[in-house]
Amino acid sequence: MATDSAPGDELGRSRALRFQQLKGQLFEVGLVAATLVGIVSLLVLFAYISNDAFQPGAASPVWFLTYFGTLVGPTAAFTLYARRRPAVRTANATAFAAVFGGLLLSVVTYAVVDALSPYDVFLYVVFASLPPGLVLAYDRTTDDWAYTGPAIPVSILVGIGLAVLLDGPISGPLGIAAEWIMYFGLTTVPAGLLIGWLTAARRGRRAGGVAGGVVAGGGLAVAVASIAVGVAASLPVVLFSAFVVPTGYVIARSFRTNPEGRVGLAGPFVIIGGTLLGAAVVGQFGIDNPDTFLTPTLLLESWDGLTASNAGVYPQIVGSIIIVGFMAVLAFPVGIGAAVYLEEYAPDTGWGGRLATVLEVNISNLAGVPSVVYGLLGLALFRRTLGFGTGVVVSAAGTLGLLILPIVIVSTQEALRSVPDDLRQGSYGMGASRWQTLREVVLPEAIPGTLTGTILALARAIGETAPLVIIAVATTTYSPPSGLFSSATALSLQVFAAAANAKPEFRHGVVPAAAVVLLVLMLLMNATAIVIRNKYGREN
Amino acid sequence: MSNEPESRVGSLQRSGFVVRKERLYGRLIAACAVLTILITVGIILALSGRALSFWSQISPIAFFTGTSWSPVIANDYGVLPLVSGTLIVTVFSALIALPIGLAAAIYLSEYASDTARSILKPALEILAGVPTVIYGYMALVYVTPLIDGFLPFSVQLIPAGMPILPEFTLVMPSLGTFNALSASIVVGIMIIPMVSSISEDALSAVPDSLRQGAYGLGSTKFDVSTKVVVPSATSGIVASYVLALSRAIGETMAVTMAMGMSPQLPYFPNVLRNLAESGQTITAAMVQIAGADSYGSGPTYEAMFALGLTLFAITLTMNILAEAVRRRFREEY
Amino acid sequence: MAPSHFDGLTRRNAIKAVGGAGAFALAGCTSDDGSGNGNGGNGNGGSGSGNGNGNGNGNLSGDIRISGSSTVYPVAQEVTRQFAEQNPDVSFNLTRDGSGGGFNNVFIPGDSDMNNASRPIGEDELQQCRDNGIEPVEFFLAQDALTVVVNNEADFIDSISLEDLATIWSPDTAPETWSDVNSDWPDEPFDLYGPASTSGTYDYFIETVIGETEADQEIREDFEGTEEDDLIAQGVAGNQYAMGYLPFAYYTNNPDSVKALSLSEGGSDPVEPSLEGAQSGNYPLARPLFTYGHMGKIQEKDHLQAFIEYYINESDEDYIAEDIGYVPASDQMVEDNLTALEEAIAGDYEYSA
Repeated sequence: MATDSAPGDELGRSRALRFQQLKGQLFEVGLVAATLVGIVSLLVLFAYISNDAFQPGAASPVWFLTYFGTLVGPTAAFTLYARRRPAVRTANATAFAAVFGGLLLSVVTYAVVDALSPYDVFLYVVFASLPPGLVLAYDRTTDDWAYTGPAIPVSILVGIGLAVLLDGPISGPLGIAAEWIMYFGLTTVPAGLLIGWLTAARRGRRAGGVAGGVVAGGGLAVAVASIAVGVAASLPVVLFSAFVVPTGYVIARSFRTNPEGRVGLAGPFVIIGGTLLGAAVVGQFGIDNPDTFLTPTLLLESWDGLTASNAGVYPQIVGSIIIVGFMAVLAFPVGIGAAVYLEEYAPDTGWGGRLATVLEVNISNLAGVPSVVYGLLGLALFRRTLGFGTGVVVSAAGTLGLLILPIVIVSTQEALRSVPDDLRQGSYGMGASRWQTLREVVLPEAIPGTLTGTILALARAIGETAPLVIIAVATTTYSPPSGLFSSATALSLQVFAAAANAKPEFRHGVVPAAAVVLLVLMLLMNATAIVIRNKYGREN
Repeated sequence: MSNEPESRVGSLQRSGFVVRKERLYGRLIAACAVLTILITVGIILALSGRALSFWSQISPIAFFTGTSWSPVIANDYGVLPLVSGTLIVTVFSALIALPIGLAAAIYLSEYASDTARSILKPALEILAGVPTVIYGYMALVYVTPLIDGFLPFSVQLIPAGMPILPEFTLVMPSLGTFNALSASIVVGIMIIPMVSSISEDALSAVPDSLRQGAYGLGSTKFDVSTKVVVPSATSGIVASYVLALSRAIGETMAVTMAMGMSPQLPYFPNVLRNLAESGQTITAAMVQIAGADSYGSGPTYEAMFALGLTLFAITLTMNILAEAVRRRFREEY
Repeated sequence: MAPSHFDGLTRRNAIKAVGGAGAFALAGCTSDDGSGNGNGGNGNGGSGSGNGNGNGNGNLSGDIRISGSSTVYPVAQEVTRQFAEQNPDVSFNLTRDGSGGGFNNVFIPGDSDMNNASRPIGEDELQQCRDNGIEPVEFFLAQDALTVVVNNEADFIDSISLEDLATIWSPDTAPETWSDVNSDWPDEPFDLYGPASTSGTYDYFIETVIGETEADQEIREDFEGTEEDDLIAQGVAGNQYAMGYLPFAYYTNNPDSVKALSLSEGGSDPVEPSLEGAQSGNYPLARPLFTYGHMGKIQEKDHLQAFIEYYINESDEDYIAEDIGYVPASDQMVEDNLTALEEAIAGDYEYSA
């Protein structure tokens, strides 16, 4: 055998091979660079827009030091401490979700109900919940789900119908009651019922009743206290019911069930406390703030085309939330229904199978249709055919709902597909019908995937402007929509309308700040979807 | 034991009411699915009703071959300037997005470690999630001044005095406030994730046996990626390209804000001049008509529907084409 | 990841909760607009423990829809904002459709309560209003100095005659380059910007400057027309050889970004655009700004009457000149407008040109 110097050495030292290796490495570097180009350019643009929105250059270094000391430092220390302790991390995550989720929920509830008039909302909700409540009570006494199941949606519709009929006569006398009573009924009562029910499930009826009573009593106490102090009672009541009560409950439970992780519960409070402390220090010593337009004025006032420091986007934020909420109510049921049909009911062969194929092809085509075309559809449907006014909430929500419908259907289909067939077969083996299997087994498993897909679609819809322009949503309004048929407002449309204003304090001040608010809303929704997917989702 | 007609639990036979109820539910669910067809039908009806009325007033030949779009002032309804505006934006954004998207897909599927992938994939998804108004705003306010700082520049491609070829200097003039370049750049950034995610799915679907076989023959990773994996996934990659182009064609807000509203025909041979000047795409023209005239009637208002029908036809064709390419040329493993 | 359960909060219950919440959201949202009882408050609501829902205790409430001119829009925007601050239950809806666009598409069909216009209402518009049973009530609010602008770096020109301006914009001549019009000017092509054809500014310009044309169209078609007059200034600022025309308020809104040309008419001395020039009439392109009310709606809606009265009284304030950039109304104009309002409320008003 020819045994020269080991063939491997020659192979290793040959120039051709080294050239190959170099080529490969350059290729990999090129790939990484290309991948990063898009991300880096977007980051650069974000840096520009954040710089204009936050204006950090105007703040003195002491400002940064202050917040570093009160906010960044403690948070970093806490994070490092929590890194190694999973129990602390779980507790922290729970507390975070409760605190910030509760705050967000209470603020959004208050803003939306305030825009839509608390009296009207209270009237409709009471009428819509009494008949189902009666049905549920009847259901407890008998054992006959077959009738009470469909009776619930029907009773809700009956309730709403009654509310429409009796709106005129009842709203007069109802208007005598103080506003905070409406909020009490809308938030404290459900909160009390929920806490009572949760406690009763765990500790028995009496404890549940006591807990519910405590919540209700607390709400009354808060209302009385605010009236005594002279502050409007509505917001404190909402904050109490939607923020303090759930947070308290969740933290108390976590405290009890997760003893090693108790420290983690302090996480969100470290952040909130640090921010408040920093603000207090900055205010006390008169340290230079950044010259930012991201102030409470931006979030609470309405637009002012002349004076940038007075301009705000509160009506637009509330309007966007109302549109997105209504759009979800429209698109979610229809989307799930269509996906369930395609996955569970549609046959594979024959005419039914061909119909199913046509439906699927159609849906994937609809997903690729430009949003302007949906705008034209909305214009023709809602304005011409149905005769609604121009640019009302219903038209906007309907148009955008049609836009996201294909996305909801596709993501629900994928969620349904990921439910293993064994579960279904097991249920059929127990004698359940197709509907029962769906209701009890398949849908509960598929809900997280569906929710993720829907929330991502909603996050995309909150930024869609073209359909709103086509259906002629107004761009200058000073108040949020007051009902379903009043003019819609949308944050994305406001950015579009204000983009032409070239005065520096608008172009490099308020408008980037409004754009940052829109981005934050979108990121929040994306983050929620990802959290749902990670926590409740199913590996595909 | 075997002859117990009615046990306390209830008979095994389900009651007629329940059977009918569940059949009703099934029908309701099927109705939801059929609703999606109604949407397509609705779109086609809504668009074609008005579009046909428009084409009965303005001849389709004048519409599709006319070279001047000035609906109100000059009563010209020639769509070619709008098509050229759309094409310019689409071509230049594709020049950005297609190579970068494919490179990102190759990197993510062949080279990236798990940590890198878990960071880069969500980062790329964010590119697609940013609202298009914000892209338009950033293009108008930040990208245009940034790029304008480097312009104008000129590159002499063919110097004077060469035997047959005339002298040719490629000139990139200074950008106007509204120009096609900024719009193309942000649209390109926006559609990168479409290319990268669909291509990456296609690349990951190539079975590992092909790669291992190539390694066994002594290929380098570069060879495997470029000569084995990418060609196998061609159908998916081409499908992703077509879908991304269709998205770029339908893009509205970014081009409306950054590109302006002057429809014009392209310049030759100094191609770069088109980028520096304002133009108008089909979608921007629709928005302009809607802003001015959205309740009225008359040829201008109906022109919006005709443009919409044209756009719908183009994007529908491209989407069907993408699906057909994906199905037909998909390698069976 | 394995599906996780939370005691007492199984998935089925979670679905029920989501379904219930959705139903309640639907219920809550179906609260109707009622009889214009919109509680369009700002931010954190008023003080004191809640009262009735603002129906008939002296608080003005309702909707007001204003369409029309983008020229008058800055005035309308500021006045409506101030009024809305004082009367939070009145909800406004302002759009910029252009004077003509607003008449044709919104006011004549009866969809808006007021239409701003930067030119008087036309004959056929008046006829169409009356055909629809609408009597327009004219209020002469302010005056504007239509400004012609070029790029800051266009050193070759500081003033222009109306005749040259007509030559540049007329479809009959439609010159390609500056030197086609005047050999002293550079040999560069025009880049023109102006308001869209729905705008009253456009109507005024073609009537006053261009005049009659032989071609089939009123103006050359290769300019960039827009409804947002801010974009005119920005477009001109982007190209050294650009030119545009826009209302004076939008010139002062984009300070230092463009250069205003002085205008000369028939051989007279060039006059700079200014509010004094517009008021005195020296400036050739001084023009009146109006708003038209829908008489039927004025008679019906209390809050509309209160708003118009507020609008008329505000139109002679200084900030119209200082902050916005138009000539405020004179005392005589305010009086005439108040008289017209009274007549409209009584139903006695009739428009005459």
